[in-house]
Amino acid sequence: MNRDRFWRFSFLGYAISIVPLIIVFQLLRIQTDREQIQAFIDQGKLFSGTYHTIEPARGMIYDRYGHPFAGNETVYEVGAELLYVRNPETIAMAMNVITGADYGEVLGAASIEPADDAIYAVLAKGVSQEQVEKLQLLKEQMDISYGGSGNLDAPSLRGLLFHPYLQRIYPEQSTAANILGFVNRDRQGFYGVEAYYNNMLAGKDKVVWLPTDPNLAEGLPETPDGVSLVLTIDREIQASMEELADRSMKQNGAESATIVVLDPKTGEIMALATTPRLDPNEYWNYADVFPDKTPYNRAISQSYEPGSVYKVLTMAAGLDLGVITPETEFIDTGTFEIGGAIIYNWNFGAWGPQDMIGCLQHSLNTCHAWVATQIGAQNFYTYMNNYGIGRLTGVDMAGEATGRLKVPGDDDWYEADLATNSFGQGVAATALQMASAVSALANDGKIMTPHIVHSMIANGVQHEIGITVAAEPIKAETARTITEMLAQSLEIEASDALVPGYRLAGKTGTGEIPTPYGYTSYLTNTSFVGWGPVDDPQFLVYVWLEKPTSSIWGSEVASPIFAEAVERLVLLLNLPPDDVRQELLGK
Amino acid sequence: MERLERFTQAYPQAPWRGQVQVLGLFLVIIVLLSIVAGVYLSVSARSAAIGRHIQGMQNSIRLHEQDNETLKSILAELSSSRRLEERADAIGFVPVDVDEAIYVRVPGYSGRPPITLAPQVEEPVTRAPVLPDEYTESLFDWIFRQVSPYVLPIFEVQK
Repeated sequence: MNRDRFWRFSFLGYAISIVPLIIVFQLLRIQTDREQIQAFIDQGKLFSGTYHTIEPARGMIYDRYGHPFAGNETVYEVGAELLYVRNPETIAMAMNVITGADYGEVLGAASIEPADDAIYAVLAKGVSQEQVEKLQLLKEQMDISYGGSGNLDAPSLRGLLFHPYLQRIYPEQSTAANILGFVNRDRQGFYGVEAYYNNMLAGKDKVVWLPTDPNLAEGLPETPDGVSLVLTIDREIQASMEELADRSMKQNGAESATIVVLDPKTGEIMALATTPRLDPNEYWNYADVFPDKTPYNRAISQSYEPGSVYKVLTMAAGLDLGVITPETEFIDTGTFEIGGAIIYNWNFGAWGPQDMIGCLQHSLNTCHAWVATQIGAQNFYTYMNNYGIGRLTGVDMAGEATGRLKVPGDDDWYEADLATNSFGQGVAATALQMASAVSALANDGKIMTPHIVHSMIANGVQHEIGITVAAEPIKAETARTITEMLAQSLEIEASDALVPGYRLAGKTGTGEIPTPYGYTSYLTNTSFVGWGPVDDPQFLVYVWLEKPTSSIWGSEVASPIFAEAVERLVLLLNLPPDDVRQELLGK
Repeated sequence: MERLERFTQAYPQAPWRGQVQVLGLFLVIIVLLSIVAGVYLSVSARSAAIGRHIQGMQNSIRLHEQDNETLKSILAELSSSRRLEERADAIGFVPVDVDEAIYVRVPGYSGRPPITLAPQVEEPVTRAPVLPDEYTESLFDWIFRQVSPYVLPIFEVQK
């Protein structure tokens, strides 16, 4: 063999040998480089499965007898897998006709060019099962009719994807809406119980790795549903009180109406009706239903000067302290001077000698101002603090307001405030605060913490929420005395609040509304607080009508509403008239 | 000895015998490997099928749970106070007036309690013995338990 040729063959041989050696070396280098290894493992993981978030079903909300107030239903997210979309116009048209989605928005989303960071576009959320079935049927029909045509402009719904998920639903619609609040599409609770117990109701999401390799498939971890709540609310009472509130508001030309029904012995809220109300299934109408700064639940979020209903607290404090008795005489001259201010009665009249029942019956401002001075500022405000005025009641709903109680030492407190506060002016409280404070008079001097949740169901076990005494501002004996005084004053007055067959205690209230220039508004807040039966109180009803135009007086506006509320309540609570009840109990 | 000599003499005369043996051994290994591979393939295929089945069932469970929630909501809507009122109106019911109500006393009935949707934790747990005494007591305890009904009264009388 030629020597030159041998050299060439040798070179070729070496070259051919070296190349695989380099490849082998490179393979070894890559496979032993830790950074490269990790990069490849990470890249491999991207395609070996997906992370999936398991969202537990949001807990149900029931009324006290198990009627659902809030549940969940399956709805769909409709999206487009951009790589497979053939005709965005058809998708936009179908979505617009079937789901009512905006044509332009859907067209824009479905027309996005697929890319590494543009794989899927959400077209609509909250689409019902019925609508999805229509879309699926249309998609199939189009595939059959035009699928094989090869014409890229042919109608097609290819690329549409349907992802089911649970959405909050309120079967009772607007009933108890102010208590419940609502849940938005991000599963966040707003207002009421939905906001207060949001974390418990929502449960805990779990993120799990779902491998693509079926050999690695494992059972999913247990994801307990959110905690369910049983409320203290009775659906029938709630619906009835809401109907009454709505009608009363219209009939009296009022700005709003609120009715609170409380069990004074336990603090359980049986009904809490306020206006306006939103159908929480359509929470996006919030701004229309609650314009400006309208509170979602006036009973807990809007404080107001309650007026004469507050007098029962003053009178009870005076009796409890022993500075007055029911027989104590007050000679009303029509005015009472304190701290340079002159207090007048509601009719600017002088009522002459009156005992304390007369003071309550005629709702005399002068008399109550005098009682407050007998109590003394220090003691008076201690009592008011103990009643919970100016403090949160602790009710388990979001958005509670504190109200305002000025006390000696505050920059804006004057001596005359003691007198005006005694009859519910110059002090602001929510309807629930007032109901809670007055419940001490109906429950042997004890205020039970008002609450809306009776029990919780978690992990298959029902936990009853215990009742707690929030305060004991007056003695049991005082509570019984003031109850008797108020019952007598209603009977003597032949009040519109009386209900035949049932002995009730209560008090009207007409509160002037402060403006930046003083009490210059001709409109008022009219209220009534009452409870019964007097010998064994089963309910306490607080009525508040804001700025009625039919009359400015609580006795004319709120008293008849209270009576109607009680008439409905005794039927729904199966509470017989007093004589029948005593006869039945005696058997 | 003679047979061994004949064998060693014959072996070099037929080299294909050795080749057949090697080939046979190779085939045996191939067959064994095929069996192992077949078994492995079968097992992994079944495992994959079961894995897919599990995934399908999990998805099915999720959908059924969602359906259950929807059905509960439909039921709730059908029994809502508004629907019940409509049905009551349709069959001629009218709201009762407060003076039309008749009350009767039902012995033992103390009013409608709030709903119990799950076992309550407050309820006292009944602590009944799970195992009879025979399983836990000693021989002495058993003898004592047997004789005590006869012996103890005698002691009490003597006191």
